[in-house]
Amino acid sequence: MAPRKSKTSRPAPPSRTLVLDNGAHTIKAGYVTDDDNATTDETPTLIPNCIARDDDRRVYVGHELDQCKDFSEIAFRRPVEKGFVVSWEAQKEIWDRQFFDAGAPQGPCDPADTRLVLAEHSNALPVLQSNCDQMVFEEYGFASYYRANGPSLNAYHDVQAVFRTPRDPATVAQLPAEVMLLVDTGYSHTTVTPLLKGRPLHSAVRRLDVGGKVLTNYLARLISLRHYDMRNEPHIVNEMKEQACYVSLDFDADLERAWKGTRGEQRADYLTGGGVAKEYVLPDFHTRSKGIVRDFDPEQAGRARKLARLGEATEDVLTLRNERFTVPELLFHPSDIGMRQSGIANLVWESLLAVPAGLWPALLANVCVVGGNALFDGFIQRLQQEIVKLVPDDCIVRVARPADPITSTWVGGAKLARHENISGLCVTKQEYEEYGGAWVARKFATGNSE
Amino acid sequence: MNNFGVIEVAGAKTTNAPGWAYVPDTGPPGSLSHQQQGKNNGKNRKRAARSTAGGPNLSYADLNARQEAKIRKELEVLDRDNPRDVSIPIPAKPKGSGGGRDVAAKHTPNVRKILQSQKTFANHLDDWLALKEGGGATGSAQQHKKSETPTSRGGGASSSSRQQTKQEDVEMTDAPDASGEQAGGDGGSTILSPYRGPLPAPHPRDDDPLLVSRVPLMPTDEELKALLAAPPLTYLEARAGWGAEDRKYPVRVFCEVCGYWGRVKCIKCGTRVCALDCLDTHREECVTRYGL
Repeated sequence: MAPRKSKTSRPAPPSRTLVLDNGAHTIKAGYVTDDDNATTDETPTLIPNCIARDDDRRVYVGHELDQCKDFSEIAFRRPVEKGFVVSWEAQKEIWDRQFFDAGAPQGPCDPADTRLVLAEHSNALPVLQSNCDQMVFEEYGFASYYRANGPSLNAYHDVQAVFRTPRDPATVAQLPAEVMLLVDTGYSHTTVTPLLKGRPLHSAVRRLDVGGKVLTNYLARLISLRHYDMRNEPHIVNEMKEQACYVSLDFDADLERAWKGTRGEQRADYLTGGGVAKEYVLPDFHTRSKGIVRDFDPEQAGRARKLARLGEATEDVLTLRNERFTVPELLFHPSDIGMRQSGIANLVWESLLAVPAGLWPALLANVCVVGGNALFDGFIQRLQQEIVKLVPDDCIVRVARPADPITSTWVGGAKLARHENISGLCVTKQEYEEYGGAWVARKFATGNSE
Repeated sequence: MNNFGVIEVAGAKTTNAPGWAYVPDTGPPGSLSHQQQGKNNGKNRKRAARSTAGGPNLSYADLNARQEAKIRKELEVLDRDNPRDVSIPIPAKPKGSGGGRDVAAKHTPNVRKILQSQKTFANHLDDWLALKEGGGATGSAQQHKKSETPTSRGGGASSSSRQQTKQEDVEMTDAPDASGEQAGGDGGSTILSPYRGPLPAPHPRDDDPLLVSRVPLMPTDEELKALLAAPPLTYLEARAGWGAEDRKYPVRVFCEVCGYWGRVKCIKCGTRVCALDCLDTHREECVTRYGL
């Protein structure tokens, strides 16, 4: 590696840091200043990472989507594919409007006086990484920049607080966390990353190509087969998934309860809903802009059906039965849709097999789940159940999720930005210009893993 | 042949034109690009299908090529952002926003290339595969460089100092961050710190061989360092496989109509349904066209 200039020649680090978790579905972004009094955890702004066009052909970029009133037949263009920024044309537009334009919601940001901490997924293609570096330095000109491994940022949380480990309340959390196993289940895919001192064990990173997007599309397909054609309503279906779906702790029993039965059979569980069936009132975007979940009521359902037949129904209602749990089930059994990949629990096991057995007890006792799919009811319990089945009996398995699994990576990044480690990880614009892109790529690859 | 004095020289240099991608031809056409592993280089589609079916991956025993194609198509649909093909152009900047940071500013050539690229992730992945498989000298050179860096650095001057710290107390690890500048935050050693919390009270039968709990040996420092220094896997290597654990049990099948267990097969097309009611529903639209 090229020798670094002495410390004094480096310019003073910029006063504030833009921490950016550029997710495929939402960008988590916020500014972090170096003030030491900012021990309180800030929350990032969530920006939809898309350019959307609604039925009236109006186009919304990023945060402008909030103004959208009618989400029917909305179409999205997403710059991030499979977790990596691919279309910089679109990404630049979203970033510009959010951060750099005069009309930016939080005021325009001056990249020349800002440090950028950008979270990216593991196992990126080198060409996409170099594209990203070039955009950051050559187009925006950030003063300094760290392309961080997203999962590893989560180690900068007080992980033991997440697991509610009994301990002396006065103990100061050791940052980054010494050892943990991070499961990141987001929009594009699900990854398992063992972390040691905040650094990923690259050889043990595993990925499952099932994420929130596949779940949403699968739910849309099921509903289109059984109820209305919802394939062109990704937004509505996504909301439905978030509100109504759950991870079943006993799949067979739940499936049994949701079954209609064979011909002429009157199954009590089916008629009463059996605790599984829910009604989902679709939004019509006039009186109701969001769908509502309510309990299945057989009498009311019968009445509603009669009204619908007369054409006097005031609301569109779907009855969701086994769709509620067969959809998130894909995370645990991707083979249900013919995908030849193991489920999450096996993913964890595969990843463990790639590290020495001496680390298993520590990793298994600290399984932390982040990402939007972690919000499904029962996800944590189910994952714990399944992991316990696979691993040696002697290991204690603890699975937990932080209070807000969606912003967890960002908050970790914000903590890193205030941590002393950051100065050693960043690359300044000068260094980029002096040593070139390949050097920067190498530094990010090794600086994080050496 | 008179070529007007122009002699064509086969050059090793290739240029990537927009809209073009060199793709290694390794499998039957139409297969998913990220299911490259285990593919064979067959021109004959039938033979390819048969050989994969006979291979170790046999699990969808009752799948024929048609059903496989159907599954593949369905998976592709599930992976899309929009159900239809939409192209949403970048909208013009609103007037109120001051027209952007520096509209007039010119992009550097690199940036211009990136912004104009219309490639999708699949294109990039194919490019990268072609570079790797096609024996592209540049590709392998880059790979070498990447994999060498950690080792070469480990063999440098820093390794001796690190070995010293290893023998000393663990507390040294957190010491001066500034000196271990490129090592990322944690500088020197990667040794895990020992447990310093309260221990349970000793018990007279602690030494009883029957009560001893066995804890696997902690990996040595070298092992940990090697683990941490391992280069990232490539995109395809990191993909979870279809392991022995999964092959232990047959794949679950579901009723295509209602989602319950698929206990019955339609005689005509092989679609799974659960019982008579769903079979009737299915029959109404059961289309079996030859070659579908």
